[in-house]
Amino acid sequence: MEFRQVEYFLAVVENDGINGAAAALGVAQPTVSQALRSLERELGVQLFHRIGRGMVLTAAGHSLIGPSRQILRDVGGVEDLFTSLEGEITGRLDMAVFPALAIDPLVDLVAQFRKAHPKVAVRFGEFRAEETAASLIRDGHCEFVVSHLPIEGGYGLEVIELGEQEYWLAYPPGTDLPEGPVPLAAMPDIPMVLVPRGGGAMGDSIDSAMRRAGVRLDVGVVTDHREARLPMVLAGLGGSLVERQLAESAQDHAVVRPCDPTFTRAFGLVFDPDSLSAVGQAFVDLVRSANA
Amino acid sequence: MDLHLVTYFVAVVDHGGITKAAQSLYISQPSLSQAIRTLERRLGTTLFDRTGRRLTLTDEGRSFEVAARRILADVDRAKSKVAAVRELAAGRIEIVTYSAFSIHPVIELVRRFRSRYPGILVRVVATDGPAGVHTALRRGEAEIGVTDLSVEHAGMITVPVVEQELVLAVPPNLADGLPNPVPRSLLPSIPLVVDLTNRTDAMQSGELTDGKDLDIAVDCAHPSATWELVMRGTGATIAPRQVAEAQMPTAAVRSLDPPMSRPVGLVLRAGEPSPAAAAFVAIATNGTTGA
Repeated sequence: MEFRQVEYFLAVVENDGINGAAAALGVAQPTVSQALRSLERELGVQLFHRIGRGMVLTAAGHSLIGPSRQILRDVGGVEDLFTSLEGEITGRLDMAVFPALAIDPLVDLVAQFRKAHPKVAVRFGEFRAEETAASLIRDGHCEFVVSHLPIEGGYGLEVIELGEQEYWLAYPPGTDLPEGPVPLAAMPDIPMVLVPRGGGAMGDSIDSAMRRAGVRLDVGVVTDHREARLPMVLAGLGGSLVERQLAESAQDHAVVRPCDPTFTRAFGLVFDPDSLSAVGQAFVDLVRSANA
Repeated sequence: MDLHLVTYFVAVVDHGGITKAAQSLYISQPSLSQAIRTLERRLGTTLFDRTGRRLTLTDEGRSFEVAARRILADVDRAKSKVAAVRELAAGRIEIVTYSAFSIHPVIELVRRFRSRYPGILVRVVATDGPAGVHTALRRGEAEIGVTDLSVEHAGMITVPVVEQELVLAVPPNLADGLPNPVPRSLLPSIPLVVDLTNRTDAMQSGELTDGKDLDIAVDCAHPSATWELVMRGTGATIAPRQVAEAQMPTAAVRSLDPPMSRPVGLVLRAGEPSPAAAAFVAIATNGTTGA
């Protein structure tokens, strides 16, 4: 197995086929197909089903993704051995973040990290099924996961708690609402802008509390784009439930209030301490010192 | 059982006889009598006692009357629900787009639509680029796409809405000494926060580089984290002017040279749109607030 074959294999996975991979790598298509076929020959198994002109991963192909990413990271780490003599860390910080948690303190930690290590490229990716958090790390898809805690099947993984997430209500400017927490049963009669129920324990507990309080929300807009919630509130489209710090950042423009009862859940950074790269170790050090 | 037989039965009860009921229904007396006998035959029971001068309900007739009135009320409710949707007092509309347009122009379009049609739920479905918009439309997951009209949309209806300018949002610490507008040739020297998995962003950076490598500081899949990272000085990003100005208030907004823009519009499947979709198109193409 050659490093180049692994790189091409991942490019085909990430770019949905030979064409995209060749374009992304800046090489000719036959070069990619050839490399892929020889990798399959060597492994004695097909990595992709060729369906029409499409490429669909086989089970064997799936099993190769995680280890391949680990290979790329480790190769990057070897390059670090030599470049780090100059005292600067290079390489890649690779993390998958649950969408609701792509906020502070994580964003701030990433900004600080880039300031301290400007030669490190950061991949601030996303994942949507929290029950897969542990396997994302174990299979080598990424080095860090940021997820609500506790995570399922986290045995042997290390967790650094980053904070507690809380949901607040945000309403359009000028909404007449008394100061202080808003009891669910006393929510104003204003249409809501919501993201779809993403599963996850947080959404479930909010749902059941609303049912208990006998609240029937008038839902005006349901959007998959989380980043559009607050702008929609400010545009007067309705109220929304948003992460506390997002609400606080908007309190000069929108009417924001805590909910009663409060909905909180801890979240944190998860990683495998036994396979930490030099870049990963530097990030863990930064997070620990910020938490101290 | 035919619905019209139920209607006839209730009319006979309400008018106290065949003659008046037939008049109110605009049918002949014999055909109404015939219809009632058909109903009785189908139900296997006698609904009216015909021995006296007046037509009176039997016990079975009285219990059928309760059921019949409930059925007619159900029918009315069903019709009015459909009418509410047809007349845009209720219902829902699904719109599909990707992060390039999730704020501008989608929020303004949705705001105008909801202020005109407050009873209609708007569902915004996210996808990863123009091809995803087509897929969602073809699968019926959405009826309207908000997308880049410079891309091929064969076989679809396209409706131009607005020309969207893309600008560079630069953190204050990186903006010093940067000319305005920023020549595209300077981009490779500026650390960037962009989403490489988002196909349109990736396309843009390909278009921007002229083969030169960009300095990707953070490949960020979360738009609101991108805005925060820009404002904290991690790097610059390319965004629609309206998004740069509203979401990154502490960043400097610079045009590019040559300038960069894309035509934004609606795409729909060929064929007649639903009433809500037609209303959305009308509101999107009518520049006024529609309030």
